[in-house]
Amino acid sequence: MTEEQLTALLRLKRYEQPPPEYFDRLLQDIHRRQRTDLLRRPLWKIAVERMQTLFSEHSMGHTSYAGALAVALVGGITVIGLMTPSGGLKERGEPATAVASTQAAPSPDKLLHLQHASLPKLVTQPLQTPQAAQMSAREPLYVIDARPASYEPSSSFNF
Amino acid sequence: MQDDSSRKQDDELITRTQAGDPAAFDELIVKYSPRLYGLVYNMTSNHEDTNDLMQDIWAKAYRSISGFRGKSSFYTWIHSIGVNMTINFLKKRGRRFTLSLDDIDSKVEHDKEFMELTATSTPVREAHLSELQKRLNEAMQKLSNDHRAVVTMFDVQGMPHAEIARILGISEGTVRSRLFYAHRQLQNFLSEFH
Repeated sequence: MTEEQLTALLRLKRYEQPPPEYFDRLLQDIHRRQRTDLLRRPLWKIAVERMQTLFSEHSMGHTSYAGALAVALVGGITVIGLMTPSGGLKERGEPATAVASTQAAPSPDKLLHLQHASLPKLVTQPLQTPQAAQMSAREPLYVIDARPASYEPSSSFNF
Repeated sequence: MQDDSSRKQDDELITRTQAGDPAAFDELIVKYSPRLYGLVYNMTSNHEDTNDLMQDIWAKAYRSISGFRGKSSFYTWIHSIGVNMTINFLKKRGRRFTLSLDDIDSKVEHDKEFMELTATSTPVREAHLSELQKRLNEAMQKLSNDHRAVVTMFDVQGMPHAEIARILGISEGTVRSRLFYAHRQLQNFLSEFH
């Protein structure tokens, strides 16, 4: 087979095309696919895209877009910081020696002495509300009491 | 490969698509699907696979078109997506060959080369040509994916070397050498036919 014959034969392959109605159907299939893809997209992607659309609608440049995001981020962190109860040791009424002890490493004997001196004496009492006290005074209730008289376990087979 | 008016029309459709007009993207699908189909079909040799890939290619193009900056033509861009996705698909699929010659368009009868090949048409000659095309398709499947892509774009679709080089991201020299090697291989596979 010559080079010319081969190229002529290969060129005939361009006619291997589906019927014209195939391309109409393809367009419909692509539309369906696009809708499905849109529904399957995770929420965060949609949120990011909406943010981008919002900023682009206000014709903001890349720099101002980044700046706005940075401001939003800092603002968000500040708000979260304000909403979280600040956990300072002084506010909790814990002794200042707990902080001071970390500054210099004392000897083991001194450490033992410090622990006894600084730790507040805790009086432990069981937590009991008046309702709980009333409940404990009553007779105990058993779940088995609630079982109906006609109850038969499903595992009992009579052949 | 593409004249200025066609490229201007594409640019306008792309701008409209980027602005959120889905009808403009539909026009691009209608315009480029037949050629894209030919490319994918001649590489996969399977209609169902081609159909799935066509949807994947257009879906990817739609997702990526916001980033299209017009450094290449849309024609090159969409063919580039098509070739890369098809080659990736073929790597995963392995070898499977189900091309059917029944799909040949009736327009082939008016083709000059077809008329020349069947000029002195006899049942024996027609059977010979049909067998030859079948063998050619089998031979095409024996080529590597990269070689088949080059043959499809150059010989079947009639793209120039420079355009193929841009689509595949390789040099024109590589396109020519792949083409030369692929032709030699095809000729060897079909050597018993004269």
